Amino acid sequence: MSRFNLRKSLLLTVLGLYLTLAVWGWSDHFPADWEYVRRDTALATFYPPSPNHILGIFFQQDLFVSFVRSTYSAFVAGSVALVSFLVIGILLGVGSGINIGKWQDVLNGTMKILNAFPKFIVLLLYAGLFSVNLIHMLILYGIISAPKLGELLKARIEELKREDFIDASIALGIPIPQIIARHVLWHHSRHMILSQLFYMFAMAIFMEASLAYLNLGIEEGYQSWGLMLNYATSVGGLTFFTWPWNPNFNLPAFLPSMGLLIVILTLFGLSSLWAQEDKKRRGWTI
Amino acid sequence: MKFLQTLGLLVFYTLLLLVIVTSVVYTVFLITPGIRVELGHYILKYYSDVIGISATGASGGEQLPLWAYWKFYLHWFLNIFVKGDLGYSQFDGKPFSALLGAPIRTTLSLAVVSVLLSLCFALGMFVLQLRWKDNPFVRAGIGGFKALSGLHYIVLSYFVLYGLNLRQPPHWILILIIAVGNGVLADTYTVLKEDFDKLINSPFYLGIQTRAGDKIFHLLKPLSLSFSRIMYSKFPAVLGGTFIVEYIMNVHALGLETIKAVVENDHLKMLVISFLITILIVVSTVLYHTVQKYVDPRPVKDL
Repeated sequence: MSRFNLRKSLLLTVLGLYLTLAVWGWSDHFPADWEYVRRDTALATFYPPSPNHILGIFFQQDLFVSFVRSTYSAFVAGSVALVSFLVIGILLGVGSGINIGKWQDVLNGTMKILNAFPKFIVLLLYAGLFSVNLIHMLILYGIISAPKLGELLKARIEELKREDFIDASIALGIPIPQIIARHVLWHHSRHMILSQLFYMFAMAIFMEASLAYLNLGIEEGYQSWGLMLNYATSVGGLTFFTWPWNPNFNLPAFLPSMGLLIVILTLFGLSSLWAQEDKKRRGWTI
Repeated sequence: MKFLQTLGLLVFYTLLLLVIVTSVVYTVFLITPGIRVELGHYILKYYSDVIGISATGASGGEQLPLWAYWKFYLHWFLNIFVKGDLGYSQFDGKPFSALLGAPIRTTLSLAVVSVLLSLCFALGMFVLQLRWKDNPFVRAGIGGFKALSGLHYIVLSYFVLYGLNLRQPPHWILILIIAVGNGVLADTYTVLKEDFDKLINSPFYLGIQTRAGDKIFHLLKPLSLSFSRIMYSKFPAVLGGTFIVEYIMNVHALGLETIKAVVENDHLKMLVISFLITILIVVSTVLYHTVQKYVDPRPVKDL
């Protein structure tokens, strides 16, 4: 097995594992013993692992159950941002790439303006203005990130416009939307789009963690790695700089940190693999 | 003469953009009944003479007439340019002019130096990768940096706060966090590699090779264009990152002020921050286009 394939298999396995945890979080089926936490446990105290709570209790919740539910939240956040990113990105890219008169200039201008604004700050102001929930903010995040995909698609369309097969397809009477959908988007851009989707998924997870950390747009009972980090870093006496079996080890902060790190690196890795695949197909030296 | 004409147009478009951004944000305030009442109290407290309605004449939960709100907006907007007065906080009554000093300077310096540092790191990694592609130590080093980049700002800040026990860390540590964390370094490296791959697969590079030309000399210009493009495209993301790190590290700067404004429902502060951010974006865009024009003066024509 080549190094490329080995890397791909490894990354896809980790992604599979992450998706399994997300499905588990979505199903919300946990043994009753795990979910049951005595009401007299102190809120801001970490209770070390026990037979019923394999990773311990923190903020009156089983840490493992919180972790799995947060995995699902991160998945939803990524998916929601991904849909708006994909739809708006393709519309912007195709619209600004093909000749549609004045609309082409409007779409180009829209992409430039959206690209220039700092996304996190736009989301902060949006949260301040509308007091919306996290899902709305992530949809907006997908929309304001879409110009990146739009610009890449526009460049690809500009490049393909000069190819003979496009002229041939037009001469054969194949409708323009079909040429764009089949020849441009599917045959020549799918690896690039997939690469961007993995990258966007990772960035949306980062954004969800940041917003949840700041307590913006979340409702009571919401579980998130960002929120777990917020709780964990607000309690004194725990540290990363000791052995994991030490009672003072900050497992509540370590778990979401590792969750974020592994998922993000996996998604970055997959994004880079598909970008490589795209370059190979274009005959580039890499 | 042409320079003055360009400058005039730039000032005009900047003013237009500022009016559009702030009036959109202000309209959102006005269509939200709760915010409108709060804003009414604020206007009556500080600007009753401007709108000509006395504070004693208006009752508690009553909204002001619409024209009064817009008269205030006009006064506020003009006052910025005439007196340099940005208004007062709805939350604690402090003047916003304070934002123009240390807060904006700190945020800008953190963001700009972080973008530069991120580019330098990415360039270093790229040169190492180019020179010693198969060296296991180089591969491990680059992999390590990418892994570090996968850490969220919150985690990196936590290491500094509790691991290094630095409650008020020096700015260079904050710059390191912003330049590396949240995938900034990994993305800068990817974009740089992408640009380089594009360049060495272009007919331009083939031409240099065929003529046995000096590669470094000929690649300097397209690469400097690429650097300026990367810096410009990464600046908004890094500015957002700066806001998060400032909040976590409790650094008195624009980021902390913005998050405080959102949490404290200080709407006027949000309006002022929108104004300042728009100016920052205009300045960065103008700088980018000036550099591009200087390095590559050929006219750009869309295909």
